[in-house]
Parts: sequence; structure tokens; C-alpha cells
Amino acid sequence: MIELSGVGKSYPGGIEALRDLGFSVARGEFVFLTGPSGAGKSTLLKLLTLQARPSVGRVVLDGVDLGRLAPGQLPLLRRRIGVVYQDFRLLYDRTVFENVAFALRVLGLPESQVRRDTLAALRSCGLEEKAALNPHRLSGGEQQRVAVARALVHDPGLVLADEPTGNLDADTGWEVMRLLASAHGRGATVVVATHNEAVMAALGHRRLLLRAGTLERDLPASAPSAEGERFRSAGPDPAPVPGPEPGVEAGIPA
Amino acid sequence: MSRPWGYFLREAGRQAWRQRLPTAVAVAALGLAALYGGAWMLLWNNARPWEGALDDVGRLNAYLETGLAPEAQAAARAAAQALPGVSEVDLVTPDQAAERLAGDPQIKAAMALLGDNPLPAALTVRLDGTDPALARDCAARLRGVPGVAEVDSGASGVENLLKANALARSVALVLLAAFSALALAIVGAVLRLAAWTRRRELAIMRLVGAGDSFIRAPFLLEGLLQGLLAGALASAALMALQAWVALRLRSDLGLDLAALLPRGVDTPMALALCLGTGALGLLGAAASLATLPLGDEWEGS
Repeated sequence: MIELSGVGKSYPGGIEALRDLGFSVARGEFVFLTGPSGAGKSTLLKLLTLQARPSVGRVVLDGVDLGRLAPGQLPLLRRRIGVVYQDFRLLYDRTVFENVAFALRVLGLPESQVRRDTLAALRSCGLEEKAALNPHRLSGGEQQRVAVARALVHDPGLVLADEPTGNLDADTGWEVMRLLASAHGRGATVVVATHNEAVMAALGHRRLLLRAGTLERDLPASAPSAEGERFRSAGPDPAPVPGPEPGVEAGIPA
Repeated sequence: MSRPWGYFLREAGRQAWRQRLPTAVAVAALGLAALYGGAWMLLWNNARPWEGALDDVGRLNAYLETGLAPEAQAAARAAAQALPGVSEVDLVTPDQAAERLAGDPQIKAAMALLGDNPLPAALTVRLDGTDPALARDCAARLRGVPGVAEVDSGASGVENLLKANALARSVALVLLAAFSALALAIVGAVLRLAAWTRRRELAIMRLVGAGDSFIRAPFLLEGLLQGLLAGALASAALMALQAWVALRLRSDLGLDLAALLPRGVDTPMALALCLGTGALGLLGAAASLATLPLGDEWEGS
């Protein structure tokens, strides 16, 4: 689903955010992208969400070489991806329903289908009652769930999440992770950039550890913790997992 | 892929409402252009009756010397008929001329005072066309015909009228183009401002896969709607002005506006104004958006 080889990204001023990065993620895989601040996680996600082009190297996404992507194909490829941001990136002058429906409208679907699928996505994210509200009237966790609903409403093959639990408390962080896990359960490839060691340890998925713009370690999936097992068994109320502690970067396994 | 036109319309309306003041400025600019365009259309439509004066250009009156013998009058008529560009010549005797003028009581009274008929015989010359230059040439030739004392063509006056008319139309056209360009620039600026204030939203739209046409359609629709609204307002204003002027002319001066403006502001003209300003708004929107990336961060990276 994702293939990177020799990827580098430099910004004006000589800042090298990524250097000779190479890895692949199989279709249907769940991968954590981790590393200290400034390691290049956000830049990598920008490449994968088609917000930036690599300076060097090759990025292949769902069989499409981004270096050969014509501008007209860009929206088509983005429609196959669902993206969740730490800062939610919602449209605050629209209702929750409009925010989620928007991702379907760009597909040119009939309004009846837009309505049906949007309501289904809101229902699965526990937001049906909030459909008519503006996002600024929701809590942070609810706003993040709106962002997840928007990312998942069109059933994308690839879901990318940038610190989706970063601004949330532990309980709501788990709710968001559960929604991402459900997309994974339906066959989507999921890449989550996170500092949340507890979530990573609990779920035991593969981890890509970035440091100073390079891939320092590629840790294979491990057995989930007991908490993660409870989460995976889709219990209705998974045990809260502690959120990231201050200075958690230092706690990331080397 | 079907186009969600209902959604685009709602977006255009939402956008216009969010930027009420700039939108009002754009509509006012388009409205001014429409008002000016309407005035120009009135001028164009009603200038045609003035062109009836051209009929006078196609007819010359050549007055013969007093006391000219009938044979000489006939010879002058034949000579005039032989001139190039002349289609028909009628000889009007002094008696016929007096008879024609007798319809006017004042002239009739003056003629009675004079006793003898003072009018000369005349030739009424019809030309092949209504070209003022032809009338001028024929008048010059007629003056050289034996027995012709004076030629009244009136061509130079009509020529001047036509030149003034053409100049007025040219100036009006240039001003219309200037107003339209100004309106285009204002519509473009308003929509660029809208795109700038919505840049974050547009970037999010891009991220979920919105294509160019999806992003641009509401802006284009907004430009079109601004133009249609401006055209409708301008038409209504012109109609109201026309009704007011007609009322004042009738009540204060006893004049009928329809006699002065045979073709006033009517439904076809209002429709033409609406369509014209709608096209202007659409063009302004398209031109202003053509160079905007509209939230596409990827391309600029």
C-alpha cells in the first residue's frame, strides 16, 4: 500500500526534514509512526497526504508513483485516503453533519447517499445526536471523532492519523483509537503517528521509529498487552489507557 | 460524476452572506455598469429615428432663376435628370409651390399681402442613395446647370448630426467598456478576498479530495449571481426612473415620453441587461480565480 525508497525532503534554508527514508507498509496493515519531535513524522505524513512532494526519492501510494502524478489525479488519489489531524481541521462555520458530508460531496455522490452514509458514519462515531451542532460546541474528543468520521465516511483504503490522541484525555483517546481500529478491521491500511507509548504498547502493532529524519528502527508487531487485548476484543468499555506523559519522547524504546 | 448544484448554490449564498459588504460593493459596481449599459442601449435604440433625417439627404431642392421661361425650366430639369446619382427630378412651378405653402395660414396671409407670387420655380431632385457625400456632389453639379439659381441640400447639417451621433456612440462605448472593466476588477477583487479569507477551509477541502471544479464552482456561481442581481436592480431602477420621468413630463410639460423615447426600458432590454451583467460577473470570477491556487498546498510545495 505504501512504498518509500530513498526519500528525502528539504525545506528552504537547507532544513533537511527527511533523509534516505525507505520502508513499505502492506495493504491492511496497522503501523505506528513514532519518534521524538522534529524526527520527521509530520513531514512524512505530509508526503503521504499529498501536501508536499519529496525532494528526492520515490513514494508509491496504492500503486501510484507520486512523482509521476499529474495534478488532475491528485484529488482522485486523495479521495482514497482518510486523514485525521491532531488539530481536527474542521470547518467551524458548518454543522457536524456538513463537515462529514463534505467528504462525500466531493465524490459527486447523490444527496440521498450523502445523507445516508453521513448519518451512518456519525452513528458509528457516536455523534448522531450532535449532527446539527457546530463543532465549536463540542468537546475536544467529540471534535476529533467528527474528524475521524469525516476521514472514514467514504471508506478509504488508507487512513493516516497525525497524533489523533494528542489533544485528548485517555478515555477519549481510546475512543478515537477504537474508531481507527474498526477501520483497520474493515480492511483499511492505517498509519498513526503518535507519541502515545501506552497506546502503542497496548495494541502491539508494528512501529516505525524515526529520528532526525531517518528510519532508526522498524519494530515488528508484538503481542498486545492485556489492556490491548481487551481493546481488541472490542469490549464496550476498554480500560482507560494513560495518555502521553510530559517528556514521553524520552520513553520511546530505542 | 454528478455535480451537486444545490450544494454549490448554498455555498455561493453562504459565501456572499459572509462577505456582505464586499459583495454589496461588487453588486453596486456591476449595477453601475448595467445602468450605464442600459443608458447606452436606450441611446442606441432611440437613435434610429434620428436617422430618418437621412431621408432629407436623399432629396435636393434646386431653385431656378426668377422669370425663367418654361422651355428653359424643362431644359434645366432634363440637365438635372442626366446628372450621375440622380434618380428622379420633378419640376415645381411657382403656382404649385404657392399651393403647397398655402396650407400654412401665416404664409398664405403673407402671400396675399405681396399680391404677385414671389416664389421661383424649383426642381425637386431625388438621389439614388442617402449618402451625404453623394448629396454634396450632386448639389455642386446642380449649381452648374443653366437656369439654377440656388441649391438647398441640407447634407452638411445631417452629416454633422451623423458625425456627432457616431462620436457620441463611440464615447459611450468607451465609457461602457471602462465601467465594465472596473466592475470586472471589483468582482475579481471581492472573490479573491473571499478565497483568501477561506484559504484554510479550501485547504481542508483539497485534503479530502475536492477537485478544481468543485472548489471553483461556488465562486463562479457567486460571480454570476452578483451579475444577475446587479442587472435586475439596474433594470428596476431604469424602469422606475422611466416611469417617474414620464409622469413629470406629462404633468409639468404636457409631453409624452414615448414620443421622445419610442423604445424605452422594456422586458427584452431588462433581460439583456441581466444576462450581460451576469456574463460580466462570471467573467470577473473566472479571471480572478484563474491564477489562484485555491488551497492546493501540494502544488506549491
